[in-house]
Formats: sequence, C-alpha cells, structure tokens
Amino acid sequence: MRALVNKALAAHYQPASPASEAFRSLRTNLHYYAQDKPLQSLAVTSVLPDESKSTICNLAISFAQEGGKVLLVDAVPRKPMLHSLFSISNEAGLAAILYNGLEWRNAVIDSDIPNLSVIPAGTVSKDAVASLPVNHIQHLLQEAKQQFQWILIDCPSAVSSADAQILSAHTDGVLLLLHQGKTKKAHTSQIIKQLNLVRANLIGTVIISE
Amino acid sequence: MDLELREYILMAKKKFWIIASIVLIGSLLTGLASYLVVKPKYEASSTLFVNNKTLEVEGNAQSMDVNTSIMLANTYKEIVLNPSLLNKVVAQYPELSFTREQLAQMIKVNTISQTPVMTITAVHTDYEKAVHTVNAVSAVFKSELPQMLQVDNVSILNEARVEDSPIAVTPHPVIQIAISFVVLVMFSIGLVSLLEHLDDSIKDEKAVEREYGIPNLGLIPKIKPVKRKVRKESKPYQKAVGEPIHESLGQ
Repeated sequence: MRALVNKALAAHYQPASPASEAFRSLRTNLHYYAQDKPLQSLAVTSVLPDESKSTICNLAISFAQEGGKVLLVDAVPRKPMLHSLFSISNEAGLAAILYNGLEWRNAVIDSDIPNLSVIPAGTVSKDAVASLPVNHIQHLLQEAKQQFQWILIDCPSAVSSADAQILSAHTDGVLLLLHQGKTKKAHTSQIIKQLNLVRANLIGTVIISE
Repeated sequence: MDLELREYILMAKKKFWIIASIVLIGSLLTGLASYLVVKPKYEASSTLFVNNKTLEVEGNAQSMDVNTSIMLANTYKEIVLNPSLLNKVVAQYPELSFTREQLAQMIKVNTISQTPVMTITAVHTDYEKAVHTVNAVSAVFKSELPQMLQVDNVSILNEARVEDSPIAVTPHPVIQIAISFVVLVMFSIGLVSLLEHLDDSIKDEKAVEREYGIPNLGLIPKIKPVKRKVRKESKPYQKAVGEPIHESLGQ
C-alpha cells in the first residue's frame, strides 16, 4: 500500500524525478490542446483494468501545483482507491451523488495537497447495476466547472465496464492510458472504437513504461 | 504487417542476447560433441589391379588389354559388395566378428578413372580392424573371383598396413561447428521474428500514433520507489504566551 501511495503521489513527494517531469510535460501538452478547444473536464481511462490510479493522481497533482483548483473524482465503484491514497473517508462519495441525491458539494474533501480536492467513490450496494444517471453527471460537471479549473475523472477500463464510455461522452476530453509491453493492440483498437461510438473526444494517449 | 529491413535489424538488436546465447551455446555443444563425444572413424585402403590378358591370337605374346581391364574394373566394383562374397569374408574371417550387413556398410569400392585400378576402403572407429577388414575383403575377392567368373585377373597392389598412421575421416569438428553456427543464427533470428510477430502489446509511441491516428501526449517513465522520510509537513513553531523566543542560527 505504501508503495502504491509513493507511486501515486510521486509528483508531490519526488517533484524532481523524471516521472514528475513527464507529468509536467503532459500537463503542458494538455494546456496547448486547451488553447483551441475548451478543456476542463477529463476522463482518464486505461486499457488495462484498474491501472489508471497513479497516473491520474500525479496528473491532478501537477495541475494543482500550477495553482489552479483541481477536482479529482473516483468513478471506479468496484475498486475504489483514491480515498486511501489521499487518506480521506469514503463514506460520502460519487455513488451517493448519483443514486441518493446527495448534493455534490457535500462530497468534496480537500486533500492534504494544496488546490487538490477529491470526491471519493463512495459505497455502492452490491446489487446496484443501474447504469450511470447521465443527467446527474452532467449536472455535476457543469456546476463543478464554476469552482474548479480542472476536473479529472478516474474511469474504469472500458474493457470491463461501460461506465468509461458513458463518462467519456460527457467530459470535454478523454485520455487513454497504454502500458508499454503489457497493453494489447487488439484491446486498444476495441476501446478506441467504443469511445468513437459515443463521440467521445479522445484527445490522446499516454504511454506508461514499466 | 510487413516488417521492413530496418525493423528487422532493430528487433535483432533488442533481442540480441537471445540470438547470441542460442548461437554460442549451440555451437559450443556441437564443438564439444565433435571433439569429445563422437568417436573418430578411421579409414584403411587397399589397392587392386585388374590385369586382363588378351587371348592368344596367332601365337602373339600375351599383353594386357587395358581398355577391357578398365571396363572390368568398373564391373568388379559392383561384385566386391556382392552379398555372397561378403558372406564368404564373414565365414573365412570370423575373428573380425562383423555381419554381412556391417561389412557392407563399412566397405567402399572405387575405381580410379581411366585406369584398371580399384581401391577398397574400410571405415571403422578401430583402425586396426579397418586394416584387417580391408585386407580380408581384398584377399577373398581375389581368391573367389576365379570361382565366380572363371577368370583370375586381379592382383593386390597394395595392402593396408597397421603401422601406417591412421587418418581420421570423420567427424570434421571445424566444419560441423561452422555449419551449426550458421544454422543456429538463422534459426534464432527466425525464432525472434516469430516472437515479435506474436507479441501484440504496445511498444513505442510512434507505432501507437501511426496505428490509431491519435496523438501521443506523453510517455511516463517508471516511478522509482523512494523511502519517504516525512509524511506530514512539519508543523509551524507555535509559541505560547509569555514564552521567550529563542533564535538559533541556521544549522
């Protein structure tokens, strides 16, 4: 667990490392993209299942280090991890916002890292198989944009869940994470196709080398 | 997907250690086997001469008919390996303890072209045995020929001798190592190509961009784990009312 925290918050604890440098460069590329088209909400999904946590955390930290307010949302209900990485409670989270009518502002928790706030996944009852309520998502995104400069949503892999597709359709952009030497080309093609089907704005890929 | 030559070379470079290890180990094994394991075989030869005399015509002295002799030599070549002759060798020389089939395998007969000279060669791991065998076959052939063909026109020019230094005929270590080296290089390159073809994971960013038409925004290197010393940021120094402030110079 500690190793995972180290990895996920590397941009904060090892700002001089090559990895942190790479995240800053990714951040810059996203800024360039944002010059042409509005880019405030980003869905981050990986081809490999459940492999996007550390990347999205570090990216969020990089944005936060610039001074803008960042909201990090944990949309992986089956394996919620963000709350542990930031040592916050998982009691009230995205699940409550989407299914129990919780006002989203009540689920936002400020992390120890300046400018970075988190909405954890929350707890989902095992038999909840309803698909994501789209209007709640849109509402959340719209209002959050007033308060935060960047909204990053950690999505499950599109291979295992349709949530990534749905969320991607409503964010300004989607980042696809590929793991060097592990991600299969066949899966990658499949996911890109799925994202194109919902007209998601696939901004680009990020390759993680191991 | 067609692989260009450049990609082949890049791929060979990456998996170079696989190729190198296969080739080196294989060649080494071949060399060891060739030098140490495989028993060398030696060759012993005897030379025979066919001396066909012409029929007496009008009282002329007998002279050798070379052309016929040459043709006879070529014919006799086949007869030496004839099973009945070999059986006789086995029977007359039991100390050799070869079967007819073994003899047939060991013996080679050649003629020197355009001459009525035949050589009988035996190959065996034991040089002495090869010598005895070849001499036995030569002797039997010469003695049996009159019975078989009613002519007696073969003479033994040269017998194999045990005192001669044996020449190893097989194996040829250097050639074998060279051959195995070449074969292993080709095989290992083929193997590596196959592995690369079958491997369909994402490798480099250019390929990704090219293949999917989606820009690559970054490549994140491996995050090295570092022991974190401090989890919380140190708390600011808090003074209670009335407490004197101690200034200390920097450490």
